[in-house]
Amino acid sequence: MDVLFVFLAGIAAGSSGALLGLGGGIFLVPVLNIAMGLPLAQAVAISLITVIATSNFVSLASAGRRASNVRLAMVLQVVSAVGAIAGTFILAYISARVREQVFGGTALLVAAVMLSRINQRNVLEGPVEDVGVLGGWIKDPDTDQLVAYRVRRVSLALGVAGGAGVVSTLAGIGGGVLVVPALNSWCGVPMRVAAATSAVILGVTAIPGIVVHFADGHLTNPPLAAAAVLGVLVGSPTGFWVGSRVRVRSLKILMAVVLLIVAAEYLFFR
Amino acid sequence: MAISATLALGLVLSLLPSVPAALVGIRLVWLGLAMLVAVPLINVVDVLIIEWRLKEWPFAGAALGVLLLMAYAIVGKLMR
Repeated sequence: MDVLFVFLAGIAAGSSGALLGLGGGIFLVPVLNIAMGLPLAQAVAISLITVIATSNFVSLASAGRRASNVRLAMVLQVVSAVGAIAGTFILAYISARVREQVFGGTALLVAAVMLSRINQRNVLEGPVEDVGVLGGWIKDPDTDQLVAYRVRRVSLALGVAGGAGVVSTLAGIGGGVLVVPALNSWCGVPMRVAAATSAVILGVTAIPGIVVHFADGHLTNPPLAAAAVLGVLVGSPTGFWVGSRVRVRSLKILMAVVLLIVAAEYLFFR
Repeated sequence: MAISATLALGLVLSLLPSVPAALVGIRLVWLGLAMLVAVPLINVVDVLIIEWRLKEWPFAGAALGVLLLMAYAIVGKLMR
């Protein structure tokens, strides 16, 4: 029964992860920890594994490969990897409650920023030849045209990626909940590109946390991890299918609502 | 596909009442999880090779940096 429940939770996490460019961990950790009563460390370890599963699905799916900006992902991955490794050291010095509060506050801030920039479009109007070193082109689903975008505030993106790496290890999430809004709201990256690129970054970012939890003996029930991963792999195609057919503005609103719910949970209900 | 099949088979076997089958299932699950974790690293190697061939040294360097950091994270923590 536990295995079935975790499998279904994995489906939900995979769908939401692929749809929003998140790893799904922000849904899975509370389900495993609160609903199933798993120790938080074990829930975090399983969640990080499913983050990699979601990342793999996006990076291997043709739609994900088309949408993701691999060069931007590679640059941000360096910093997020440093952040994730730093997180493994911080883990030993702060309480679980502090980790939750930091994450809840960050999610609240990002939700506010997303809602304040809900109508912003990050595509460049008119014919564009130079999109910069990290920019690119993508088919805009709203107009069905190939449009260009240029990445702005790269330093800010790097800072957020580093912070996302730390958060990933501490809270058992991929960090996409921070990276996607930052790339979209502050760095000029279209939502779909931000989501796909973030998913590529998440996979590597989750590895240091998984290694630490494995070394500390938190992966005591590998079949549960397998059930969660299989659920994610079933749910991810659904999320991607929906995401390719939903308007950009709707994705932003959905993202903001998810962030507000997550923030409330971690700040007031833990 | 291979990862999903390995995990699914391992999961099913691990739930069987037969102890030998369950042990085989657990081992298959661990193998599948290891394969899963290896995929992002293989993707980074792929990017490194592509950017190296294109002589795009900054991006090749970024990919190499990611691999070195992951090597530190994995080897360093497991050897602790």
